Formats: sequence, C-alpha cells, structure tokens
Amino acid sequence: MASEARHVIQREAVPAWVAALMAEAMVIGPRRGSAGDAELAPLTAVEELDLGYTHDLLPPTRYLLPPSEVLFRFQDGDGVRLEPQYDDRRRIFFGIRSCDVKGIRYQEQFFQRDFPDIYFLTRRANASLVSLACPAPPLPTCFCTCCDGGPTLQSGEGYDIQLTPLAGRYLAEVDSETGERLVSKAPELFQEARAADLSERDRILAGVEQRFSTTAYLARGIAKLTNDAVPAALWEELAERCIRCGGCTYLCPLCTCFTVCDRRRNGQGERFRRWDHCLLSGFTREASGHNPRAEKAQQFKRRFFHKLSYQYLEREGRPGCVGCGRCLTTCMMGVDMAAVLMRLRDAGRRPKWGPAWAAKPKTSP
Amino acid sequence: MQRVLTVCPHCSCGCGLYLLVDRGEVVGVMPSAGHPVSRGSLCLKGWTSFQHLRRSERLESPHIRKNGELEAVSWDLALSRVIEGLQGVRETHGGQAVGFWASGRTTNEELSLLDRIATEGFETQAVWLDPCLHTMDHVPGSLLEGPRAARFDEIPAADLLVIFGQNLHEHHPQVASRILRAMDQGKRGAVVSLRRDLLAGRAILHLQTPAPEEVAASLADGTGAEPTPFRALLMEAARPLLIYPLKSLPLLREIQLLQAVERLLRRFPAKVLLLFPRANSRGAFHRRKGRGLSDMRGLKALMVLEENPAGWEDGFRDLVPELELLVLQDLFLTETAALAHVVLPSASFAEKGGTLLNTEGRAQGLQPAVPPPGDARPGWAILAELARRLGISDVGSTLEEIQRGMRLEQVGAAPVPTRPGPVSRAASDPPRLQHIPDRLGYLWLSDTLLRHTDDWQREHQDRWIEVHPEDAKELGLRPGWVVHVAGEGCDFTATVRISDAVGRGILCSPHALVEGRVSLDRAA
Repeated sequence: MASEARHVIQREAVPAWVAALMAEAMVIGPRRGSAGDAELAPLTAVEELDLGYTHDLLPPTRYLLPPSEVLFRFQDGDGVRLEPQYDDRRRIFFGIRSCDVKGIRYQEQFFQRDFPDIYFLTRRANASLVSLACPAPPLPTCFCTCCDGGPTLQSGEGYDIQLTPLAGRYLAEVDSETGERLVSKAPELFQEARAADLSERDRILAGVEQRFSTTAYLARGIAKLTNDAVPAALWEELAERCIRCGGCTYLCPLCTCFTVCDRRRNGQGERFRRWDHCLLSGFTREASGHNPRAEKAQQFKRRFFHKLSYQYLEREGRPGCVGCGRCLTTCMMGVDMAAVLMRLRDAGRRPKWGPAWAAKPKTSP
Repeated sequence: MQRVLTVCPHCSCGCGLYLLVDRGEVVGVMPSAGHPVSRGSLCLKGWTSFQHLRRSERLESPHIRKNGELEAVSWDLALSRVIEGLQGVRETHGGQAVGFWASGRTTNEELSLLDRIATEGFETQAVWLDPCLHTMDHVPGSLLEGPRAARFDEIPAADLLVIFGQNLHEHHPQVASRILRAMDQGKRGAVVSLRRDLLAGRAILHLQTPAPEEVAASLADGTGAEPTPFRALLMEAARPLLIYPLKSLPLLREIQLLQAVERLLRRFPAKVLLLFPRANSRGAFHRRKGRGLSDMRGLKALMVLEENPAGWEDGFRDLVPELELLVLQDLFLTETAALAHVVLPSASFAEKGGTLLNTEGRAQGLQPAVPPPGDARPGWAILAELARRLGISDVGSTLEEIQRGMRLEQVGAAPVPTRPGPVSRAASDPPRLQHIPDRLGYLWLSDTLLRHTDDWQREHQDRWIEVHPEDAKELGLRPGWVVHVAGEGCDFTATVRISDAVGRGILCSPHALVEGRVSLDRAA
C-alpha cells in the first residue's frame, strides 16, 4: 500500500531521527570506514552517519544474503536434531541508493518464487528501506539510467521512505506503513512538504540523466544475445580476459547464487551456504564429471545471456542489471557489464577499444 | 556485518581486503576500493581467503607424537617437549644442528622472533626460508631498491612493458591487470615466455621460448648495426619497464636472467619490477639468514612454520630420518605434520596481527578480526613464549612490545654470488618432453591454505598437464585422458589438456616444482 505522505526534515534534524531509529533496530547506514572507503554498516554512533557518501562497493543485499551463513545445526546420535538458524534481527537500511533498493526488490521476488527461501525472506521481512535519491551520479561508474535502476524511485518501487536532498533539508516521501512508523519515531522532526519543496525537488532532479557519463548499450546487447548474433570468437576474446575472480557476481546486487556445504566435528555439525559464481567450472560440473559448460567462453557468455536475455525476456521483463556500476570497479581485466555491452554493440563493426584489442599479426624476433 | 581492514594472505601484491564479521565470525571478505593495491578488486584467492578459517580440519590443540600417533596435549607439555628437544640437540650436536624454516607467509614480527631464538638461543644462523626464498640470495639489491626499482603505480607510465614470464594474470593478477589496461591504452608490451597467455596474446611482441634468460642476455649484450625487432623496441622506448616473477626459472638460469636485467638497466633507461611469490616473501627475503635446503646435512632438530616441505620437496623426506625433533607450527595437519614429533596449532591471517611487506616494499598490517579456534595461538605468541622459555627475557609479551624490539633496519641489499657456469640443455628428443613447472594462482603441492579452501578444491580436483596438439598427435594423446608423468623430479598422474598455447616438445603443469625431462604413459 502506498500512503504517499510527503514530509520535510531539516538536515540538522536527521541525526536525532536516526538516533530514535537506532533505539529500536540496527541502523545500517553510510559512514566512512577504515582506509577511507565509504561503507554501509551498522552504525554504532549517530555521528558516524555520512549521507554525503559515494557508493558502497558491497551491495546492501549482502546483508540479506550474506557471503556465508549457517542454515541449521545438527547433532549425530539417536535421531536427528536440527536447529534452524534464522536471522530475525530488525534492520533499517538508511540512505541506500535507488539501484540497491531495486536489487533488494529483485532478490525478494526471486526468493519468493517457486521455493520460498525462508532465510532470505526472514531477513527481508525485518528490514526497512530508507533510500536516498541521487541528484548526480555518486560515482563516474554509475549507469542506472541505462537500465531503469535509478537515480530516483517511484512509488511502489520498494522503498519505505525516499529521501531527496534539498537545500538544507530532505524531502521524505513515505511509501508504506513501515515508512509511516519510521517517521512516527520522531514526528516532531518532520514538517508537511509544501509545493515549494516539491518544485525544488523537480528542479534538482531535472536533467539528472545527463550527468551520467557511463553508458551501457542494453538494447543492442539484448537483441544480439537473444538472436545469437554474437560471434563465438568475440566471446572467446572477452572470456580470455576474465580471471574468474567472481567479483562481478559477489558484488552484484541481483546475483543470488550460492552453494551448500556441511561442516562437522565431534558429532556436531552445521549446514551452511556460501556465495558461489557462474564463472567457475565447478559451478556446473555434474556428479558424473560431465560439465555442460566446461569452457570459460561458455561460462562467460552464459552470465551475460542470463542477465540480459533470459532474465529480461523470460522472467522479469527487465534486465538483470540495475546499473550500480560495481562490476566496473571490481573487474580487474575490464570485462564488466558496460564494457562487454559496448563490444556486443560493436561486434561486426569497427573495433572501439584501443589498439591492443584489435587482432594484429605477431612479429617474431 | 562489521568490516576489519587487513591484507590478503596469498600473493605478494598485498591487496587490502575487509574481513566481514558478523556475530563474532568472519562470514566473507571484500576488497577495499580505496586501497592503492586492490582498488576495489580481488582475485579468487582473495575472495575465498576466509574459507579455510572454519574448516573442520583446523588444528585446535597442540599435539605430541606418542607410540607413532599424534595426541592432543596442553600447551605447557608441548612447549616443554619442544624446548627439551631443541636444547638436547644443542648439547649433543651443537647449535648448528638446530634449524628453523619460515615461510613466505610468516610475518615480519614472527621472523624477528625466530631470528632471536636462533641467534640467542642456539648461536646458529640456520634460519631457512620458504621454498620460494632459500635460493634467492642472488637477487641484486639494485633491482629491489633505489631509483630503478618500480612500484605498481609506475606501470601505466611506462612506454614499453617487458615481461619475462607467464601467467601473471594467475599468480599476480593486480600486476597483470595494470599491464593489460596499459596495453589497452596503446602501450606496447613485449612478453618473453613459453606459454601464450593473456598478456602474450595482447603484446606487440611475444617471444615463445623456454629460455628467457638467453633473450635477456642477448638484449643486454647484443651489438651490431641491425638490431633485432625486440632490441629496436627497447631502443625506441623512453621509459621501459622490465618485469620478472621470481622463482619462474631454475636457480642458475634465474641468476643469469637477473644479471642480464642488471646489465639491461645499465644500457637502457629502464626500471624493473620483481615479483616475489608470497604475501611476505619480500619481508622474509630481507631478513634471510643462513643456509638453504641444499645444505641441511648435520641438522638434528628442525622447526617448520606454516610450510609443508614434505608435500613437495623430495630432499625433505630424506632429511627426516636424521632428525631427533621435527616441530611443525601450522593451521592444518599436512604431510609434514604426519612426520612431525610436535605440532603446534597457529592462528590464521584473520586471527592475528603483524606486518607483511608486499613486493613493492609496502609494509602493511594484519588486523585480527576473530580469535583463533580452540587453543590455537598467533604464531608470534607461540614464538615469544618459546623465546621466554629459552631465557630470552626481553622479547615482550604483546605484539606492540615485540614490534618495538624489532630491528627494522635489517632491510638491505643482498650480495651477488659468483657468476655460474653455462647451463646445458639437452637436444629435443620426443616423445620425451621437457617439463616446465607452470605457476598458476598457487603452488598446488605446497599451498596449505588453498588446499583447505572449498572453492579451490572444487575447481581443481584434477591435476592436469598441457601439451601441444602436434605432440599429442605424435604421442596418441586425447584430451581428458589420464596419464602417468615420470622423469626428473616428477612422478604423478594427471589429466591431459591440449593447447597450442604451449610450444612443441613442452609439457606444462602446475603440479610439480622441478623442471626436467619426462615421459608419459597412459595410466591404467
């Protein structure tokens, strides 16, 4: 349900509001971490909050689907005793970016479908989302405008409250009862938004798309992938650069893959799951030893096919990418989403990337 | 999840990574975006570096061998046994019969304590270094320090990148990434290696040769009006950068290559970047002392720190029967533990403090995020306790006290040994192939941490060899066949991979460290 109440909160009143929220839940907000990196982490003091942050390399979805988690503990002996380990801690994500709200929304839909994932859904049910609209790209790697991942959200897109920075204050758009509850923790700090506030919001956000410098050519990439119009040689060339680090999937706010393992010692054990990724051979190897996608080029192609074609056409009606730009930062070898899409667009046309990319004869000594 | 900034324990790039800690457990890791090495990236080794922490095989208590079996005992008992054993050997055979073997993962603090235990406790300098180091005395200091030694951030500024070696994208990915990005920007690359890998494929020149040291020597010493295309490239370049991953070649040939690189520096306005193998190999290199593995005769007691020489070093097993005491300090029960009299459980990188020196010489600190499991202790704490029991009273009991007592100025240039004689190479004689140990992201036989990392185990279940299609045809090999590889320094079975990335007459495999001639038989 959308209540669509609009409030204004003064910039200097935000810490008092966050302090009220911290009294009832873990507030995961932006702060400056060690080594100077921006991070979304459980705030220990309200002074840590830094809403002027850029972007956290770790998407907030990794709080809901952690890198590893214990699913249940068990004990050998007479009968089997299982103790499921649910994480129902109350979390308020405060000041997360629009793209990350879409990531959480996507994962929620994924984990509700077919086999409801109680571990993820328990965490999600206990999480509230206060998003922060981007009047400018936080980082030059951002390309949410290419995939409808941001830079702002509309009612019904998953936020409980959306904050938009105005001069000296924030516009707070409430989109759920949960959002109302968060406001009610310190109602005295909020004023009713007036027409002037809304027109200032419109002015600040007007033309925001033009401020993004990274482009991802999704339409052409989706078309070529779907029609199998990408030459195999291009997949091999791109895949050769991939070192299978997995960073693009571990940091993707939409990736959901994990593997399940057991750990046991002295008659006790635990079953846990841990992030996994589709560029490893072991990801698809079957028990017989046969691997339907043994070659790196096949694995690499599959990743992009899944995100851009399968997910788009068969399941969601939208690409499996919100344009957060994390893979552009983390890919050491430059085969991230935007770069690969550019090569797909240019396949069969003149090469776009520097001289080293073009095939050239090798000289001998 | 809270984040604790620390340093990756694997290669000598030294990425800054965060341990993600939730309710007292490390649940994952992520790269630091602002760290000058990692810059938001890790390789698979880094991303999986937390997986060994809670393996059920982790050693949680000290063990002593009784009636042939390892038995869990208290720290007091285990340390008493170590002290009695070491002192007994000293009294019977002298301090020179006591040896210590550190690894490229041992922190500078631990190395410093080890140094004091050896020199003050036993009046010996028999501190061995890891397999990647005990032959490194020949690295000229001018290649590591001073105006000609380059750092990672100088890679984009070079106008010619000369790489003597292969598979940098596997074993030093951060360096490979900077080289690849520079080549994308139009910078020239010249690769001298056996295997046509990612960087060789992008380079303007790839010399596919098993003897990079000869290429380097001819570049350095060549004269004549008509330069080879390679020398012409070097002569054109204003800021060439020479890169060599140490331990890519057998000892004598590596010495030849490094001496040729020195001569190249005199002839060309080049800089050089040497890549050490492991996280603190450079720190260990600067603190190295004493003999190498080739000179272990007369040793009666040996303490090994987080290294598994029995897993790969043939000479080590021959030494063991001579030992009255073998002590291992490690995280897991390895092949070396199976031979040890005492095993001491030590903390992982995420469970202890200390400093590591990356290959550029950047000193970086480890930060403990969680306590070690069971009774395991940080290596520095174990060594400090040993030192105290040996009567070295002023070592300090906290990491800070130990750091205060460290002789940090021990960093200096190494002596260059006398020039070795020419290296003979037998003529090609198929079907016997020249086996080249091919370093991938790890040294499979010796890397205890990666062997206990789930994703690596799953990814590399099989040993493999790589041969050229023509050789495969001649030998009647098919991809996927399991063959027995036997010959100089080699005896293992592996799955066949066929690739023209390797030259003819060559067999590449990452599963043995000794180069030599081998023959193949299809395994039953």
